[in-house]
Amino acid sequence: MDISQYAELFQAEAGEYMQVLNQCLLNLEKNPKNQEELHEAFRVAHSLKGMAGTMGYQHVTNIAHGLENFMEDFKSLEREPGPEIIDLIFEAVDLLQEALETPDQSTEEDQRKWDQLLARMKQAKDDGPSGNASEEAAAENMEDLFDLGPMDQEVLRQAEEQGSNPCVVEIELKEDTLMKSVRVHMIFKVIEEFAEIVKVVPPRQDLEEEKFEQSFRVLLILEAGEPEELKEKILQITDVENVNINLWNSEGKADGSESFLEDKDVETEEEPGEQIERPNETKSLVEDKKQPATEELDKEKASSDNKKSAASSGEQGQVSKAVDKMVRVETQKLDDLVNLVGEMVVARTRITEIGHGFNEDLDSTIDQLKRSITNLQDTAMELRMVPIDQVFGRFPRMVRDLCREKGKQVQLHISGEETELDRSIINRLSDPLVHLLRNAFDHGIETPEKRKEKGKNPEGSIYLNARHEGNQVVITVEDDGGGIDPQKIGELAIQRGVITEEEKKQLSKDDLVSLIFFSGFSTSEEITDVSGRGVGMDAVRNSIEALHGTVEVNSEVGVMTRFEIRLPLTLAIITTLLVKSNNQLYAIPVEVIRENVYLDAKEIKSIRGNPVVNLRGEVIPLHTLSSLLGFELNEMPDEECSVVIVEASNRKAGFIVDELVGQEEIMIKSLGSLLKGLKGIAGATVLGDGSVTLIIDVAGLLSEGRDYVEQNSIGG
Amino acid sequence: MLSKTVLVVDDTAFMRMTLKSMLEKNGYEVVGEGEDGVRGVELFKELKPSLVTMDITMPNKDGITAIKEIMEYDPNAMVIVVSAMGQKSLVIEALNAGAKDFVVKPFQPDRIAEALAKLEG
Repeated sequence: MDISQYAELFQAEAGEYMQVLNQCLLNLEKNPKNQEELHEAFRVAHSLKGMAGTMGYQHVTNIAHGLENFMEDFKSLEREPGPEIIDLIFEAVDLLQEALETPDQSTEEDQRKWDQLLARMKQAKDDGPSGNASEEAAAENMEDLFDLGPMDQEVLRQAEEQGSNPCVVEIELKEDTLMKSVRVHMIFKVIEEFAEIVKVVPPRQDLEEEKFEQSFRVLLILEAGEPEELKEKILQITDVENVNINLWNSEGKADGSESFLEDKDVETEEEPGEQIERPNETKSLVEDKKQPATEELDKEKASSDNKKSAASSGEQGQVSKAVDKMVRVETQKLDDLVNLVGEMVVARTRITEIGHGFNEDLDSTIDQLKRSITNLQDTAMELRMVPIDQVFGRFPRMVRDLCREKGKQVQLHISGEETELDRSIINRLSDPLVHLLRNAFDHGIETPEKRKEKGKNPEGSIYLNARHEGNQVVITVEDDGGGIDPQKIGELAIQRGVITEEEKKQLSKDDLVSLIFFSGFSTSEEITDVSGRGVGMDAVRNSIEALHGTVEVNSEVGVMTRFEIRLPLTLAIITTLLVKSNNQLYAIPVEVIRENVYLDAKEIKSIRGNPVVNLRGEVIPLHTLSSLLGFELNEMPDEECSVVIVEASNRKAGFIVDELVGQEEIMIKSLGSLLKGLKGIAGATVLGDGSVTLIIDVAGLLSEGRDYVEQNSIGG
Repeated sequence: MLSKTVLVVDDTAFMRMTLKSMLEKNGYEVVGEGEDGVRGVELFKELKPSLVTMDITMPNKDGITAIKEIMEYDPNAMVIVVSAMGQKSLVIEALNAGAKDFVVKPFQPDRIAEALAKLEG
């Protein structure tokens, strides 16, 4: 029964909940009247509290509890949460996020921060215009609390005349009580031994359907024994947290509204998680007015609680269909599965070669095996796919915070968030995207004043889109800001020594803008101030290329800037072209291959001593693959040769190889720590026949040296 | 209560094992294990344990019938119902049949300890 084994599951689920919470608050901010969002946020906070409580994360539990309480007040007071309230909620959510990072330990500093925020939350709650409204509502509710009919009143009056004691019993169940209704049943059985029940709030029907939180109240006439005895008996029942018995007197109703005011302070001082003794009956009444309003919420909550516990226990019961169909699996297991499938894919290739033509039965069995393995591979890959929403989901909050901080008005439009991508890629996509979004926000979108001057909508827009395109995922980040001025970029590139004056003249506008991806460009902070762009763009490019992807930029001065990222669907298995160079076998990912051509030695020209070929009007530098890897000099063959034309990071090159061996699906294996980071090599793979082959990292190879500039200065 | 002896009645060996270890941690002695209601009643008469944990859904004889028979045999018997989620009405039936308390699977160890302590008190 070691709970720590669930810590990972807790974190994963809590992460999802936090995202939902943020989303709810963003929606709520846009439309404060939307009670549904508040309900949802409330429900999520409640769930988090429950989860954290189970794990024993006290600090997290406290914050979630405080958050829940705070939001509940706005729910029940029917007061619209203003921006200052939502800000407070956001702050609390941030603290919660922080607390979740190290949930099993909290410092005094954490506690202090939370206490301060809690105080401000109380302040905000008290300051609000809600005061009068809620008092009135409370006053009304005082009379209606038990909503006594004439019959009940008569019963009470008679009881008082006869000297018996009408009491209000408030019973509170433990927070994570299971089968609350059965506990309620047991409680009533005990009560009925002692008393006649006049009225129950919330109604018994609701209690039976578990449409209540932890507590309920019973107005009863004690017929046998003392209140203390009844209390004792009820406390005997498992899962009963607290029992309070107060005498009922009709005067309590009369002067209720006054004492309510005093009691309100008492209530707001309640510490999260702490039990307080209800000072008197009127106090209980105040609490009670929340009941009808939260009823619907409780229903939701009850059902979600059921789902959760049912799912975790694997019991049939009331498991909802959606939960039934989902299984949480450790990612490591998925990785292992994909790894094994990868091995099978390789073996499949091999067995097809070996087994072919021996006998018909074998052929057809191999055929079947091939199909099964292909299906298995597809299924295994699908398992790794997760919607990109996991990354996109946090951006609305980020942009909102940036807007607040920098005083800009920016609307983030997200589309295609359901697009699926390999989990391992998703995890590494976050940083570059944050970078691009921040850049779009900081340097792309102008200030509202500037935008007005230019006749633009003062509210800027950033469009974030993801979509599938063939075997790739395309992500675009586009802003309708000031764009990138190619001339400025060019000048800076010269200052930075990235290109020469001469070269600048040769470069097209697009090429100039693309210079922002060069590493020389991004080291200095002041560039941002001058150019408005460039910080860390090479970091963005590097991380995208590490994912076997490409990133391109497109800009129109004064109108827009668009970054387009293209990524493979998965990293684990790639289709490659096997080639031989200098008697060594290499694998080149097909994504970077533009075409394969046979060149006659005569077609190879030389410009400034560098071999090139003019391919349909485009001049492309040529290298023997082996020379790029440093095994030999770049000597051109003197007879017809095979050339693989590749393109990466906007650069094209021709790799001269001895032989094109064929296309093969391979499983990428890392080279291990010793050879990690080797430029030009993306990894290795084991082929069907057991031989090891290096996988070429074309982008890495091409970024070596100054091929780009050479190519362009020649081409222009 | 001097000898805190317990009879565990449940049709799955896993649940019996889990309950047994949990009970033993709380200082109880599990004197018998029954795999269905029939065996449960037999063992109760034979062992006269101070406490019985009773599953509801079991082959041959369900827990509620078993509780009724046990209560008939010994009106002071202490039976705790062990129930899965979602068996609310059955639990209530079992309580009406004379069970003293119930716990819900999956177990919360501290709740079980608490239920036991309250029953003794």
